[in-house]
Amino acid sequence: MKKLLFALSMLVIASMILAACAPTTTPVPTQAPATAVPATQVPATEVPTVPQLSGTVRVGSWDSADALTPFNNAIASFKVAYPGVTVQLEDVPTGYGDKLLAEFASGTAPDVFQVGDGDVAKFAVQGVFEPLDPYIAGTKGNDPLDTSVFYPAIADIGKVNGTTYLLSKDYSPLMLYYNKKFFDAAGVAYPTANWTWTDLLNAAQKLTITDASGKISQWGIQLPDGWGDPLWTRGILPIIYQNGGDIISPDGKTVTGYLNSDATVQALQWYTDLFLKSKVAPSKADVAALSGQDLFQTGKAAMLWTGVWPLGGYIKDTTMNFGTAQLPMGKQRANSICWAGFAMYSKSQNKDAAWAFLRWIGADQGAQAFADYALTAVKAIADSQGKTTDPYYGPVMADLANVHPLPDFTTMKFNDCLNTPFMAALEGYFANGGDLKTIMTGVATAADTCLSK
Amino acid sequence: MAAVTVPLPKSKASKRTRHETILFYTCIAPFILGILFFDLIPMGASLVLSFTQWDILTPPKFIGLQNYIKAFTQDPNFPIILKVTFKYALVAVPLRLASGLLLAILLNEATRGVGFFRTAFYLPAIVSSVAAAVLWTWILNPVYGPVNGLLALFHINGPQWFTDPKFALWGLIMMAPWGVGGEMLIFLAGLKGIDKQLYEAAELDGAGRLSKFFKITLPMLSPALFFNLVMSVIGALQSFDTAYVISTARAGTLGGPLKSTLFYMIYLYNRAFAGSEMGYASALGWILFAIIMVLTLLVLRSSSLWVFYEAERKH
Repeated sequence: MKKLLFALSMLVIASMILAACAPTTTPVPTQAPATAVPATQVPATEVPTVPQLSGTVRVGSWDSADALTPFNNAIASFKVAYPGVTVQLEDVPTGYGDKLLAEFASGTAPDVFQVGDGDVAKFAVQGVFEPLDPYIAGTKGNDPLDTSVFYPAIADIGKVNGTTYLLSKDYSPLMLYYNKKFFDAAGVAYPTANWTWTDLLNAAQKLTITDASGKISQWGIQLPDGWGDPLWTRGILPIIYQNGGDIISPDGKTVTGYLNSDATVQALQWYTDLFLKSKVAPSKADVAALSGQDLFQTGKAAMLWTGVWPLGGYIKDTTMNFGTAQLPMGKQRANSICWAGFAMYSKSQNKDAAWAFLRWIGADQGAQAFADYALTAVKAIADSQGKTTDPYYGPVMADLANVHPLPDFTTMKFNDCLNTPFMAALEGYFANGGDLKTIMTGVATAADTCLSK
Repeated sequence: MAAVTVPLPKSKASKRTRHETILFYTCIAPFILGILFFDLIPMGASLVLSFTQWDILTPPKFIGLQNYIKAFTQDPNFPIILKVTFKYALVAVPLRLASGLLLAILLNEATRGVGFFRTAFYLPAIVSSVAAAVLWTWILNPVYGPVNGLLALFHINGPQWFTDPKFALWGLIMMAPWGVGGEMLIFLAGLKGIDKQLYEAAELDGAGRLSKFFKITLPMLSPALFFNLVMSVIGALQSFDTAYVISTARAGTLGGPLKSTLFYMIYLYNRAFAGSEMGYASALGWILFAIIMVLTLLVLRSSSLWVFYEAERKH
């Protein structure tokens, strides 16, 4: 009897706990299927067929605070067009990648989720992405999509080996910001689209000011190494490309001959010399010491080499007097890009509704909501915003044509075999010096071994 | 059980016993289930996984002892994480114990404002470790931080702390004694339990402050010291959160600069989630478990030599 009671009480409690732990799967829809979209709500690009969709679509994002506004706006407009579908936003600002991995393992990842460009290759191989081409063509789902609405170079980032897995959320090539006041004071001409590396170095030297105590009070330029962000490889790739170099073969199998090529080493030498030799850029330590401050906005750096993300804030700041320019030319014009997209989970229980939402935020009215906060991949929206002719955004948009494909996409081992050791080697060079060619040959040899495993 | 054949009349007592039994199992069930679901089952799973290669997304592949062999013979980072972790533990543990004991003694001797100081000294222990880490990046900020400000008064050019590979680990070690509130309270309870008569007797025999401390206070406190030592060693070997926050908060790599703060647990986490090597990370976890087990056993074994239990002496 005692044993039975014990077992029973354990069972009751276990069921209570298990119920609490159980994943919140798609609830059974209670509403009747929605009727056709009212005529006044017809989306800008295409008229969706009768959306008899229901259920819940879970959306995963690493964004937080203000960056969630476009999500909420897009969800609100989606709700009007598809009243039967409930969209549930799951924002995980820290540890997003870890949580997503755990959810993949348990098969409970969100139906639609945000993906950074660094994860695309890995996820594509591991089969967590639902291929989108059938939905685009209309053989699956209710809403086909005309992909000619996108900038082709941007839309291509969502493809792996010809299969479309993602629609773009937002993106940014690298660009140059300059403080007009400092340029005027130093008598230096503003950067132009035809600036060379030499022009940039000369200007940065003239704009670096040392105070009486020997401390630098104004840096010529803040470079990717000083962003205060571990993703700075992306920031220096343009320099390598501009010199005709690369860091990995296009097939993602070889690093030797690319990372340690003369063109790449020369570019890295020029870049690191800006910190170590001509001392025109704040080092990581300098930036960390001033943590929390935007060096360009507070007038401690005369130029800034970064993406579009601070631009909105700078435009709003009426005390700033600044301009933007394309990156300088090396031997050739080249740029890289930072990109985020949305994918559909291959184990989603509600794929048609997930596609409807994905399409909404990737190409339709939802994309408009995101375009208000970042660069959009939809040409018509960017044109309607005047982004291509805008004095601030124009130079970035003009450089889109020079963006190189991301090396991260060449192999799912990119981060582990190449990016992490490469960053560590550069960190070591900054701290201890040495011969860059030898260092990069070491990284390349180890990376080739790692990639061949 | 089978021996009981004569059915006894149901008494009030047995009803109460049954009632109490139900209550008992109901009350302890959460703990048993908690240990089962959140400790034993995951531990068992990680032990099994440690013999596999698993990237989380595709099914695990059994590879025998390969993960363990890799850690001890192939992974160049393995000696680094052991060195960083043990270096930290060797300095931080004595530092924590000494500062906890010092604060406890001060509180024990104090006659005024005891409540205030006890709260003030304990407060850092309840601050979230992430908040503490952020706070310390400011205390040790090379330009605006009070520590370098103080050094500047003596015309010493303070180090770059968390961006200098020579100082980053020392910065973390400096933080270690800050949150010793827990240890302090245990020492304080131990101090309160020491019989005043012992000190009075010693004073009559002419003992000074130092000899009273070493001959009475320390031996009588040794059980508290023993407990704190075991817990601090385990805590130090599992250091993660502060180093994680600090090395990722500034421009840099996890465990940076130059792997100078690459703690065992940081590397384990990095392998599991950034490297998608769940199997290898599980093996690393079990190796650390073995290390901690051995160290704890060593401390336990040695305890008969230096830990004094009054209760045992009375026999």
